[in-house]
Amino acid sequence: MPDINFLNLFQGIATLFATDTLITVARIGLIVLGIALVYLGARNILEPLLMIPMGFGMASVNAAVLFLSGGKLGTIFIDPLVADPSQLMNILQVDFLQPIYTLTFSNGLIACFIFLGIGVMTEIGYVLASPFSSMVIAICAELGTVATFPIAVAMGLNYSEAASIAMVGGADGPMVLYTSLMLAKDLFVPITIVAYLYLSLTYGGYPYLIKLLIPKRLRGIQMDLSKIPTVTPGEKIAFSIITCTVLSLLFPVAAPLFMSFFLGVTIREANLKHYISFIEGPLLYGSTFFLGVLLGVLCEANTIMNPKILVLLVLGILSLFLSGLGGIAGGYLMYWINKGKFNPVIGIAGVSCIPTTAKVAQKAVTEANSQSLILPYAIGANISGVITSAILTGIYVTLIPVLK
Amino acid sequence: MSNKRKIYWITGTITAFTGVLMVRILALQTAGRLKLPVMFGGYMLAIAGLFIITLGTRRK
Repeated sequence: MPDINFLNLFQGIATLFATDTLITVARIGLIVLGIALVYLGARNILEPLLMIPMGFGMASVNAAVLFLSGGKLGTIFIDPLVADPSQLMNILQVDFLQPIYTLTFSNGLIACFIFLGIGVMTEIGYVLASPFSSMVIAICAELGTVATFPIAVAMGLNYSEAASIAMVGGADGPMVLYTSLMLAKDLFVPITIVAYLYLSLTYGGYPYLIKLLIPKRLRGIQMDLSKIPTVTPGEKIAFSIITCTVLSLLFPVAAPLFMSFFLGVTIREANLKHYISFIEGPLLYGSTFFLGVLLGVLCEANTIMNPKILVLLVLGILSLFLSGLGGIAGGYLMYWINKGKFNPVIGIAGVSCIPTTAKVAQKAVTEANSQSLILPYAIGANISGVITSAILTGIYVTLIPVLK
Repeated sequence: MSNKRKIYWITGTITAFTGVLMVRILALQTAGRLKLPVMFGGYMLAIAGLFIITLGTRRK
């Protein structure tokens, strides 16, 4: 009988014994985590649109490690570290997700597609209707994005890494992805995974923060909806093009994000139905799907096991927590400016996880007073938060290379 | 569009682009200690200009 090494027939298992114990434990842990994410996504406990493809990718890539040529261990999903053009051309024909990763993910295109989709779904009129409160709240809600930077530097990260993890406080996945790709390419996988995992948790965590910091009496304040002015589509389009031009002139490195968002808004206001249904449907859902799959597949133990991962986990949650605190502080500031006629819960919507935080704010208010409707103001703050996060992305991406 | 709202639009646009000019051209030409205040002032002016425009978009 020929001498058959049965372990080599099942290389996914054989490779478990051919590497460090730590990597083996990490692979098994990530397989379990991947399965857990699929379960939690299917149960709607975490965002299913991202967690289901991400969980599948995570579990599959860690199970499917094999022996490549030269005795190296790897997978035929993606090689995110290949940079040499001739090697890249080779790997594009071998690894099945490599073309999607190289041509849409690592250059930030997928982040821009998602931002285009967000723009098409965004009603910018709410920002224009209450610009002062939206802007104040949005600026306050960037507390995490700003305050986490020096804390991250003090904890041993360099400026680029600190800025990338601080952007988690902006609570906008595409912007975290974009910033970390521009500034900290070595850490963009763990930073983006941390960001998307935590963003799924904001729906669960922020209501407790609201209840802790805002008494029921204030949570139930009714907003005067009759004072919301109307804005014509022409004005929204003019505002979009002027704002996009101004922000792109100020922060050209973040111009792809600005252009994508405001182009989406303009397409919506111009009522280009075919573009709207294409962007809202195949483009946005396709991008979200592949983003989830790629994030999951990038969680291969050898790629993600980085000594800084624990620091990133702590800083990510700190950044989101500080942003929530800042947003609520902004809400209180507006309550004081308006002499008690402003619901401070709206402040949490300044954290730009659109439209999650606006929905969280409305839900918290409804629980305190079922007659109170704050959603128009919350969405205004939400959208303003997206714009201020984009501005902060531009500031970090512009300034950090100069500071180095 | 009423005259008042036109004034907000024009003033806001001019203010915003003046801010851009300060950041992208004037600050680069300025040396020494003035560079940072000119740049910061430009950014603030640009954002103030956008805010002024929003005041001109509102009608009851």
